[in-house]
Amino acid sequence: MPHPDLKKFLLGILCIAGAAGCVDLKHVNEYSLRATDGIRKFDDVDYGFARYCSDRCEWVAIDSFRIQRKLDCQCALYKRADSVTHILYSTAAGYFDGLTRLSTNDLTRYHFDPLKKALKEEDLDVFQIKKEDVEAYVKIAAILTRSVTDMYRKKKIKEYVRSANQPVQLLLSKLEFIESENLNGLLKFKRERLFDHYRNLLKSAGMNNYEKQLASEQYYKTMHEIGTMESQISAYSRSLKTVAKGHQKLYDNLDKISGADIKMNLSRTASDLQDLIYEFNKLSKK
Amino acid sequence: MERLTSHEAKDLANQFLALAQAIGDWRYNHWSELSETQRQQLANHHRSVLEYGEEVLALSTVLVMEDVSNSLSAIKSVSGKITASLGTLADIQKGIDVAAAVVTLGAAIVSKNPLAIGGAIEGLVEGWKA
Repeated sequence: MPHPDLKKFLLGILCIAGAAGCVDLKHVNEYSLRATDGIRKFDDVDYGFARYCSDRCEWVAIDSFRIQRKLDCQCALYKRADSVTHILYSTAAGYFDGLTRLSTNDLTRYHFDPLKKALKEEDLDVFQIKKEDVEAYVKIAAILTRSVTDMYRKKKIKEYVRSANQPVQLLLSKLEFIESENLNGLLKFKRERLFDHYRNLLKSAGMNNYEKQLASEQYYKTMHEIGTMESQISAYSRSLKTVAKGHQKLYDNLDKISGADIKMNLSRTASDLQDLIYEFNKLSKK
Repeated sequence: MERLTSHEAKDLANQFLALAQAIGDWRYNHWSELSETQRQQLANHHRSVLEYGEEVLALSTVLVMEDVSNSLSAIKSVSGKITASLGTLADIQKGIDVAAAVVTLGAAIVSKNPLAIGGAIEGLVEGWKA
């Protein structure tokens, strides 16, 4: 039988924890974690504006048979474009990273093990506390900690999602625009440069049929590489759209943040993001 | 040029691309009618038009900055608050953890076990320092 004072204490703690109520934020954490992963795929997109500029500079030199000790590439504007993109990316990633940390259920900062050790079984004879009572203490301490911090986190998450939604939507849509329209747009220009180069090469140079076939093969190989890059950028853009949609759903359901609908919605969003990350990673290996 | 929006700049870039493609096709289709100098001239034009389009796409990206400057500050401010909350959260949690440990210690006191009390205090101090 537990000590009578201990029983009173356990009951009291359970009442407090019950009144505070445990808030399940797992779905918010799952979504924001996947959102962060998705946004951070930016680092794996092996292309950018400055890279395009230097590639083009090199290409033009090759095309005109120019050999220089060091190529003089005018890429200042492209570097600025990369800076802008990076600012948008890092701001969005920073926000979702914060949201992930705020919604995490991790209680690892404090371990209850030392207390468990202090109340270990061999002391029980003198200590007059049974093993199950010790376990109960530890469990209740965790419940109490979680219930209070969960309420704090829930309050803060609501506050931040509410004030961040509009700017987050704009930021993600602009980043998506840069990737899908501008960066992918540059690849269309690259396609045109290559197409024009190879068709003129085949027409003008005194090449034999075998050399022409080799040139054609090279052309299609490069086109295929561009296609892979486009698909990668497209997967990244779709993941940005999915992140934005998820954030909007979260914002729309702030009053029912632990409701079944939003749990289901965010879990689906997290799963969609995982699929897109998988698709992206698969393209990276090509 | 600076008055363009990022979307207008992107549309303009597409126009340049279409124009360059037309120049390239025309040069190719009239190959035999053109002198070497004319071909070179057209090749240079083709290249210049492509370059304009590419520059405009880079410019379109830079122009995005103007569209989002307010949003960037807003999100940075929210992110700063989140970080501050995380600090507060850590303190709250530590406070509660320690309080829970103190209560457990109370149970040890009720049970009158000095050894366990000493160990629990030690754990509590370690937890606080962590």
